[in-house]
Amino acid sequence: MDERDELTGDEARALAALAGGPAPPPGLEGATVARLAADGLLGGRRRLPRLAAAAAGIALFSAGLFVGARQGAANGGAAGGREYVLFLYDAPDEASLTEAQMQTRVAEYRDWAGAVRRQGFRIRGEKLERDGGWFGPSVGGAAHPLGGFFVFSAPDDAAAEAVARSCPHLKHGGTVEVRPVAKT
Amino acid sequence: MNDHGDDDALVARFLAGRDEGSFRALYRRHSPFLYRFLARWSGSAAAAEEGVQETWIRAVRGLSGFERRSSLKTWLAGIAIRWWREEERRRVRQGPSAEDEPPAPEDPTLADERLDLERAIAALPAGYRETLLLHDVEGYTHEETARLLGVDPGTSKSQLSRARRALRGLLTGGDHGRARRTDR
Repeated sequence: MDERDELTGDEARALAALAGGPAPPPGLEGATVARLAADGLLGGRRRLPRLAAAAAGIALFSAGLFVGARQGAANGGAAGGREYVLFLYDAPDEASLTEAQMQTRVAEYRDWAGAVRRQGFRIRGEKLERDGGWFGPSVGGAAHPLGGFFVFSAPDDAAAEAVARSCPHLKHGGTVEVRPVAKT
Repeated sequence: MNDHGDDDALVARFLAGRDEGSFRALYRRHSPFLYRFLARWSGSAAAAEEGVQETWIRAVRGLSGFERRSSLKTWLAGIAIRWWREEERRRVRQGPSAEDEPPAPEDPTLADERLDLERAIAALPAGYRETLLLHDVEGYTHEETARLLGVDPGTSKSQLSRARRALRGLLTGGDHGRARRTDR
């Protein structure tokens, strides 16, 4: 390294001082613990039940109460719970969106899922291609084709409905359908 | 007890019972570093939050296999960097997130010089910024920086030289730092 590229004392101190921040937001610790608990990665007496973590996420989601809502739900312990699928049927304008507009919309939905995920939920989703194959007897043409789906966990039907109602697809005029995965 | 000793004891305690208290202690020791590091690498507070969570999820899953060939902090940094590389590839495919906003300054009364320094670092090409942050801000050696970035130490040294020159150029209004931010 060229000597001229060495830092002066003042430069070195100024750069080292940056190790002081920015600090993580206060709620991130609780959200991370909730996700670990939801994934079964914490054990012992203080383990957060997966469904309680999901309930905490719902409480945050609907009421905007971060740490207090999470801990209250976690300590209260939600009972029951299951996986749900959220089907997204195309909005009326969807077929006419440009590629750039579609990318913007996909990014918006991804960010929504990211926000849900950061509150301790497990959620994943996919956008579907418009063209696919049909096999077997006709079930009638869909007025609004299935455009994508999310799979997520929630403590009960009401909580799942809250997630569904928060989906940005609704504000674009699309239809969503939420259905629990059958216990087989 | 030194930092490594503290980490070793906490890791051992966590692995013995996977208790939330030990995890929270580890989280509080290392998350400030992970967050500021990811926030500056990505330029996005949302990405940093997600990255911190993902790093801990992956770390807890792999903690029993942590061989202590490096410090826990370095091991976590490696996980965070791998996550960010995956995220970068995803963003190239799908576009940036609408949630992306730079992290808020931790202290609004920060001296102008420090804000200028933060902005200049953010304006550096990615490869320069990553090397400079690891070496000059976080205090990693050339060997550690090179290992974390997956390059040889000579490359790390030359990147650092160029990064410092570019940073000085930006701070003095010169041309050195005016490369595209995504350049490596």
